[in-house]
Amino acid sequence: MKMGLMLSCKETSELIIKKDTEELKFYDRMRLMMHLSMCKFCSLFEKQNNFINSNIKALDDKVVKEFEPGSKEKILQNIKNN
Amino acid sequence: MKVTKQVQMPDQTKTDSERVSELFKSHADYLFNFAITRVNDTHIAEDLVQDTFMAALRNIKNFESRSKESTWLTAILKNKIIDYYRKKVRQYHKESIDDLRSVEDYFDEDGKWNKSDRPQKWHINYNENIEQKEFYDILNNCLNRLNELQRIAFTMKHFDDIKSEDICKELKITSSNYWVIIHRAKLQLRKCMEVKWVNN
Repeated sequence: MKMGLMLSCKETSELIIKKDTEELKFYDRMRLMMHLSMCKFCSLFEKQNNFINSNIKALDDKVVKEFEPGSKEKILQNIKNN
Repeated sequence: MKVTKQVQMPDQTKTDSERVSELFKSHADYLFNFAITRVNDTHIAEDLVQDTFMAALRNIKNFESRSKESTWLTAILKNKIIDYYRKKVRQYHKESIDDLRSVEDYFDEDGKWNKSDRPQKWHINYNENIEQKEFYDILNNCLNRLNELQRIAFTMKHFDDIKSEDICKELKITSSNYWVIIHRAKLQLRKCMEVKWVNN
C-alpha cells in the first residue's frame, strides 16, 4: 500500500479493517492514531466497526430460524431408509 | 415382594440408523441454525444438515462416544459449509473478482469520505452488548444484503474465526482480493446499520 505520511480517510479505513484481525506495523499504527485524532468521521467509523464486530457473534444465538414444515420428517425418513 | 428393576441395555442393540435418528432429534435444530446463519438459504441449510446426518450414518462406527456428539456433528457440517462456499466462489469468474470495485464508492478522489457516506454519530453506548432481538434481526438483514463473496468472507472471519490466510486458501482467492472484499463488506454493513437501526 502506497501511503504518504498523512493518511487519507480511505487509507485510514483500510488500516482500521486490517487492525481488526492483524497487528499493524509500528509506522501504520502511528499514522492511524494521528489521523484518528484529527478526523471525527474516521473515529466514528472505528467505534462503529468495533461495535459491529463485537456483537456479530451473538447472531448465532439470537436469530432463530426453523426448518420448513415437513422437512425434518423427510430427513428423518431418509436416515431410516439407509 | 419381589421388585423387578428394569435394566438399561447399552446402545449395542440399536441399529446405526436408529442411533443417528436419535442424534437427529437432539441436534438438528441447532445444526440448522448454525447453517442458516452462514448460508442464508433455507433449502440449502436443510440440504447441508441432511448431508451431515448422512455422513454421520456412514461414519457412526468411527465415532467415539467419549467426544461430544454436537462437536462431532458440527465439525462435519462445517466442512460441508466450506465445500459450499468453495462452490459459490468458483461461480464467480476470476475476472469479476479482480474487477470488484474497491471502496471508491464511499470516498472521493482525494480519499475523503463522500458527504452522504460520512459516519454519523450513533447515540449509543458502544461498549454495550445488545440484547434486543430487533437489533439482531436488522443486523442479519444487513448481512444478507452483502454480495455472496462478501458474505462468505465476512462469515468465515467473524463467525468461525478463520485466519485470513486460510480463508484465501480455502476460497482460492488472493490476499488483495480478500481485503477488498472484507473492506467493502464492512463499509456496507456499517452504513446499513446506520440507516436501518440507528436512524429508526
